[in-house]
Amino acid sequence: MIQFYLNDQRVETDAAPATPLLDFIRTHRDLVGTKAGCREGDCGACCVLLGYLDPQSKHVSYQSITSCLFPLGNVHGTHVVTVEGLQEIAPNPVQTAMVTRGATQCGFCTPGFVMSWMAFALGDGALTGQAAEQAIDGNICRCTGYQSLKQVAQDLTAELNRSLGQRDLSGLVSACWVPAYFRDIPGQLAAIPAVSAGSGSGRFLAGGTDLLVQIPEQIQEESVVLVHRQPGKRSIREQGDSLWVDGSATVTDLLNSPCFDWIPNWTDQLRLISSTPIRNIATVAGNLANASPIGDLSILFLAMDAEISVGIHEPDERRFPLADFFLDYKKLLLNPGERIWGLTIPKGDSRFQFLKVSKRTYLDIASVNSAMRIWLKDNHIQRVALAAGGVAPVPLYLRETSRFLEGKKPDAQIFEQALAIANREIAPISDVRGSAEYKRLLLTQQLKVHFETLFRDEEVAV
Amino acid sequence: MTHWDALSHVCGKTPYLDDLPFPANGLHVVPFDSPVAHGHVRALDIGAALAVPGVVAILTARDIPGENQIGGIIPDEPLLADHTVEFRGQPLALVVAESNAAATKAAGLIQAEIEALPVCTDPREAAARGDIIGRVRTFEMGDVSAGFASAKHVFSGRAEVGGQEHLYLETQATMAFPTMHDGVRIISSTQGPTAVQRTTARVLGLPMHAIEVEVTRLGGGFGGKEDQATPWAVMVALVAHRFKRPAKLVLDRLRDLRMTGKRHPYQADYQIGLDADLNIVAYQATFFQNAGAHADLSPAVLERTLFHCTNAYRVPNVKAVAMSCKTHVPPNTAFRGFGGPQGMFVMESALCHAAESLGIPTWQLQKKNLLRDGDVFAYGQTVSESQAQTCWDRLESDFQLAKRWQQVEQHNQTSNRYKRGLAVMPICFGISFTKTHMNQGSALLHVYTDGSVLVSTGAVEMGQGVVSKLRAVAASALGVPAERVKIEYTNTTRNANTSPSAASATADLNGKALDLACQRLIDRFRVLLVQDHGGKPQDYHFHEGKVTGPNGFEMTFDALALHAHFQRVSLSEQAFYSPHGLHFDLEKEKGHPFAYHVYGAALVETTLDSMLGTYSLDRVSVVHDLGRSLVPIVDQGQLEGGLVQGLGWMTCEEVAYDESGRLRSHALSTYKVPDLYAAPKEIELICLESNHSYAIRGSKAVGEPPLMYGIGGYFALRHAIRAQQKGPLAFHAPMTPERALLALHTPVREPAPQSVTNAP
Repeated sequence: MIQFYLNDQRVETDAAPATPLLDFIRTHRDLVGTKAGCREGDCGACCVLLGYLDPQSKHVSYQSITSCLFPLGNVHGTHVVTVEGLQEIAPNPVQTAMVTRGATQCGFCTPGFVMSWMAFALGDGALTGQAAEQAIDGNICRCTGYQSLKQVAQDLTAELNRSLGQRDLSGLVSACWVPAYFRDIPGQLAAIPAVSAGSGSGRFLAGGTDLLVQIPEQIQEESVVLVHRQPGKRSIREQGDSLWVDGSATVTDLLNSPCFDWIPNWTDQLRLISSTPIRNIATVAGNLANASPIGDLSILFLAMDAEISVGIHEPDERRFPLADFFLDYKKLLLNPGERIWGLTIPKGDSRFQFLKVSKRTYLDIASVNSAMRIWLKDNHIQRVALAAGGVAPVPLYLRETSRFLEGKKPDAQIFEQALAIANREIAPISDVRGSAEYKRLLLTQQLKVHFETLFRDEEVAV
Repeated sequence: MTHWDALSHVCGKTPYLDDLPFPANGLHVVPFDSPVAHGHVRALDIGAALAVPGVVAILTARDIPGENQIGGIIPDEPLLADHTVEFRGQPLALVVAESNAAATKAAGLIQAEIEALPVCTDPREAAARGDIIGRVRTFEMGDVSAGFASAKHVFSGRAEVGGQEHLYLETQATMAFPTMHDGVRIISSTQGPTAVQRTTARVLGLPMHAIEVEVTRLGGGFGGKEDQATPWAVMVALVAHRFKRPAKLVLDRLRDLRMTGKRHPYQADYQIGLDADLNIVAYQATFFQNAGAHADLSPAVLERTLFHCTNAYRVPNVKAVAMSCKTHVPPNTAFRGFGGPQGMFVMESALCHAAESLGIPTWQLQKKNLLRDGDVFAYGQTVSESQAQTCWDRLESDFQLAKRWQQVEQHNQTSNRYKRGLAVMPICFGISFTKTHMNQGSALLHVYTDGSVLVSTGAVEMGQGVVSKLRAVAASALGVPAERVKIEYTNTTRNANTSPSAASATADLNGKALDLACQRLIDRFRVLLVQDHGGKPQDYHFHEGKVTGPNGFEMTFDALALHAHFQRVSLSEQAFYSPHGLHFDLEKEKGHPFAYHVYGAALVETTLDSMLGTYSLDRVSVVHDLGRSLVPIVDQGQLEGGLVQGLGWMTCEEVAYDESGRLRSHALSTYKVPDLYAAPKEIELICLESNHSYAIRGSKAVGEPPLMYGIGGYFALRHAIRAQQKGPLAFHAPMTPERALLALHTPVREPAPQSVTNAP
């Protein structure tokens, strides 16, 4: 029995846990304000709010999610808000700004934009115009050309800064950003009995962002093990001389984690991965398990020299370098019943950069992505981890190139030789994301940028 | 004034087709489409599909009671393929089931045995084989041979421009209900309700009056639902008529992408001749349009390519040849600009080629050759009220073209990695359906006894804001507040034989008809008022919801409506409008096809990362000839939205088929339209208030023209690439990051543009 609140209504359902939340909302509950645009998380027309109760503080934190991909079973104990859930205060400031600025034309994408901005208003991030724009990075509009939407982003920021004495739920309720029933939600969620995640047998299903795209019908008929966890249980923490990243951590968790403060522009780099509503649900383990040769997190963590922990019952039944995890196209070093518990990342004085080039800079899949981490000592490269996606059947750890660079004093000639070795290590194929020739060239160019950026202080001409 | 529907949209209350209530006894339809691009259909194994619980029937071509034909211009396209399939995605059968899930599952179990035939996806290859749809068209003016002979500089080469997926956010959707007397009522997400009605009647073998088509609204159209909303509506009508039950079909995104046509890709050969003063003296072009497997609207799209092949330039000697080439991809169709943008891209390529070869900025060449009143288009229409020069002048003065050009050039001297680019894109776009007979609009006006006003026209609302404009027209004409006017859904029983909402002409044609209807009603009211209260008809004024007249007469509009009703004066009016003076001779390829032209110019600035081939669109500055806008917020939205859609076509939007005719850009994960960050960081707009009597209340057509500003995006990026790479560079859009990087770092192997300089 899945129990949750949908707007101001308590819902109890026995529907299949892998049912897309969107279908439940539209078909089972006849709430048709939420739209199906693409069913793969690429348009944002299905965005809704997902609110989690923090049992300690009794605070409900809201995020935008793509309901077309999120398994219904994951919403147990949460508050789901659709555009209809704003009805009693409509038009609220978000809606009014969109009307005033002419930021809606055909209107089909509009409820998704409204809900993304509601997450911005309800969130605890910075109240800046830039943040308001980032809040709609998962929403596609085919009509307006976005100029009017950017004006709305500015308007909302100004309005939130102006009208909210206190940026909390009661402040938002009294300024008519959210309906009054939101006040009752924490108590109501607290009354829903918890269910333990990860029970049962079958395929592991986390945020759904891959499986509900790839096998949407099939997975609804299968038995699944829901491994998506509440925010408080998705830890990213320092553990001795390493970092522990829980497999259930989302990309948003990574983006917000102070554990990566040592990487300049960390948040900018992570924003190249999918979009806000997807990052809110897509997990580290899911990205690794999907084994896409172009998986952004796979590349990122390979280049961090991470180790992966897998096991049937507990994290450290087996722990080995992530570089050994990807055997062949979609083949993993993972036994039946084993799940990915998390990653261990060595700390230490080092530099890191993730690069990604795709047809469209944001919310796209890479043509080629790459990441590099270097440890320097006495003007020499002590250690290197280099990985690239889109250039092999697997997310590729560039082992030989990395080994070659170790112990060397960085200079242009060394880099030239490293490029030649990297080019021997890769075997890109032509597909919709680019020709083999392009991918080869693009990786070479990315490596040059890595060298330039990471060895900037060494003033090495590349 | 805001968009009339905006409040409903933001509250999520606007019902799109898939949101409408559908009866529980309704049937769900999923088409089964060909997995092969070209072949003979030997057998269709439907056994496993029929066994799926909930499946009611599987219909094929044999189940069609009337004619299995949906071709609009040329009857060459079956609703359901029978013996031969000609594109991947062509409908072969309809799965009819009690639920969408059952129908979808069953469709996946149908096995088609198809003997594969050779597949052609290249228009030049098709043309070489003589696979042409319709006839080869030639627009000719002056003497190009003499023109080229007199030219000092002649440049020739090839240009190629890709297709574009409409990506309306709402996929194709429709439902149908059986009605009394053997009829069918269809609700369709279509831009062309009459086309749906006519085609359904043909396929079902029924008179048109048996078919009612209603359109509530569209979640985007952009041309993709002008002709290609029709087959799905006919399919559900077929099912509803046969089973006497409601039927519904909503294409999922993947089916929508692979089964429907897109903007036509074009290949072209061009030659341009300039005299010593850099005036264009001759232009010749041959266009190979990739029409896809069936005619659809391709012949009409082709025609507009020719109409706009010289864009906003004065060219005394022109020869332009164009042909629709039959290939094995889905029939390509209308898309904002309707072939015009492709013609303009080739002209701009020729100019850019000339300028690059001569070592001058392209904009100097563009500026020198802008249209002036008295010039003649290749199709015989004389240029009048040209705003080309005015727009350009404002662009130069207000947006400091020369200074910005200098800044870009200077930046590129000193910056190694980041190169900037700048290009100007002037436009001249003809307003009217080029099929002259389609230039007609109708309006039905009812005033109710409480004074509230209901308007029905042939216009379909798809986000372009036509209902907001119509409402402004009626409110202004009747002198009532806009809140008293409701624009009714589009329905073939209220407005018959309508033209589709297309060609940027919807507000003009339907708005003018509405204006007429309102005027007639006002005239009738005035007669009544003169009878009752004396004076002359023109003494009575309608404004702010009341009528005022001689000797301090005043009456509310609402009271007048009730009074007129009691006096047995009709409160309804129907009016028809067609612009006069339009004609076109298809044999001579000459005439006066356009009511007027819309002009403008855009300055596009970009920054390119020459290391990675990625780029940003920094700023677009536009001077646009809007006329006197009826609803400025609507027109501004059309300007910005059209521009960004055009920029998408030129940059990140790449439609790709493989050699077997399979759509590789098959989903939103592989076909990328601009998002917030791919759109220009800044758009500056200056709107010119020119006037034209054919435009509704002086508010010029705005739907399509801004799209063509996007072409400047390609040339701005090309300019940035040229800061680093001076070698041969093909004219090939879109300029994806892949093309940009390959252009920057590898030698070009595509045929290089050629140039000849005549000896003086």
